[in-house]
Amino acid sequence: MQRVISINLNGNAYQIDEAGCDALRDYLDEADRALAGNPDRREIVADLEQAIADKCQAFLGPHKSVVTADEVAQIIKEMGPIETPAGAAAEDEAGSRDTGTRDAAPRPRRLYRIPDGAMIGGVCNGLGAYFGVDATLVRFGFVITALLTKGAAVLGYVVAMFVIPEARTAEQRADAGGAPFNAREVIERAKQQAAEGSRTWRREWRRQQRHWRRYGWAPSPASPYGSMPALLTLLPLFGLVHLALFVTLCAMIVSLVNTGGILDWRLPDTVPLWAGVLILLVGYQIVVSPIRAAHHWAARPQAGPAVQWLAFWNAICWLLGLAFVLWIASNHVPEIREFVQRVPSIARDFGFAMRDFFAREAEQR
Amino acid sequence: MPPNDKFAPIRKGLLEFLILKIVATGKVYVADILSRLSDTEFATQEGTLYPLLSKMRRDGLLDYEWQESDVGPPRKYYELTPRGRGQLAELTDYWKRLNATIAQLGR
Repeated sequence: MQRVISINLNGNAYQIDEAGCDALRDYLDEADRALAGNPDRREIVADLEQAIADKCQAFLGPHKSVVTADEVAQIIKEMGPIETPAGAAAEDEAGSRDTGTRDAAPRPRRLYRIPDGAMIGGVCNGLGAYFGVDATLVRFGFVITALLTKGAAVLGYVVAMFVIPEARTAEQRADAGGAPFNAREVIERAKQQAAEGSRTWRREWRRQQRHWRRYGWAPSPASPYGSMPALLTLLPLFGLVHLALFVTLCAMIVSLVNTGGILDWRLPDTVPLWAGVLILLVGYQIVVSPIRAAHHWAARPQAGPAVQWLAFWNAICWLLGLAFVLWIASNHVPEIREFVQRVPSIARDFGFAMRDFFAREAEQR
Repeated sequence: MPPNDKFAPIRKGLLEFLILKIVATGKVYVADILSRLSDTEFATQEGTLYPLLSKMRRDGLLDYEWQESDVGPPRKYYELTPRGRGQLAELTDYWKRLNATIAQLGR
């Protein structure tokens, strides 16, 4: 006489003799182990239990209410061993990497927006993770770029906010940072980059020395400033007008953000602040474009190496000076500090407004 | 080694392609898929099929819906997603090219 055990297979009760029950439990435990790390493990095991239940049903009849051990063995044979497909196995590795294993193969790095610790939309955060740079540095670089391009980079940010997907799952966040992160790799990477950097720097240095030996410190013969005296007066003039307009723009934006208006004119209540800033930026581009075109036209024939170096140093000085002025201003001028504190919330409002707009568009379609 | 075994990895690799083909014929449930495969070289068991179906669903190739059945509990009926249909077309095309290559090389 065999003892009979009542079991529950995916919500169905079946009576199976003891040996059969042990075999079945072993099979299901094995399935559980084979599917460890598979995100659908519970579902697959439930499916398997249901399939076993269906097969048990076939052995039962009006005068037979117990499934025997032999029948269970046959069922298990029909079910076959649990084989995980190749693709699922790779994902298992990714899953186990999160829980501590560090020797998994590096996965391709992807560009995501990372909302954790984001100031606005997580774009700079994601870019930092992608290039392995601190997000604060990326943000600082972005602000500088935005000022240099007079606002065009802000539009780029908005585009990036919609184009770059957000990292939602742990796996995507891992992909955003790329290869598993540990101290040794960081040091290796830094060494490699330093070696590459010094190679290019030495190459540049040798080239510069050759140039000096050949021409000395005198500007190269094709120097534009000597050959076209008219430019000497034109270029600074363009520069001054350009600068004056730029300063006006900055003052207008600061005033608009801090007080909600410019001089006596006030922004209507129906127009959000971000729209006002955007209108200012676009208007500035329109006003400045003829000046810029003239500037480019005037500087067009001068592409000699001397001019390039001059432009390079000019740009470096400009950047350093700008950073310094920003630093001083944001620390010591209360209006500017107020402005800097208000910018993130305005940008966020803008982001939400754009998102809502596109969501409505998508709904209507 | 019997010739049959030499192709075992190939048969395994083709299984996903064949499942796409079978599911493309309309809504099917697992027993349908198994019975369609059972008399062929590609006879498959539940232990292999369920994990593979779940992986294909996660890849966005197919999806299922529950349907009541006359006998027993509700069943999962599978069908292809647009992406699954795209993949099936690609694989069919590739399979044809493979066949052409094999036929050509012997000449």
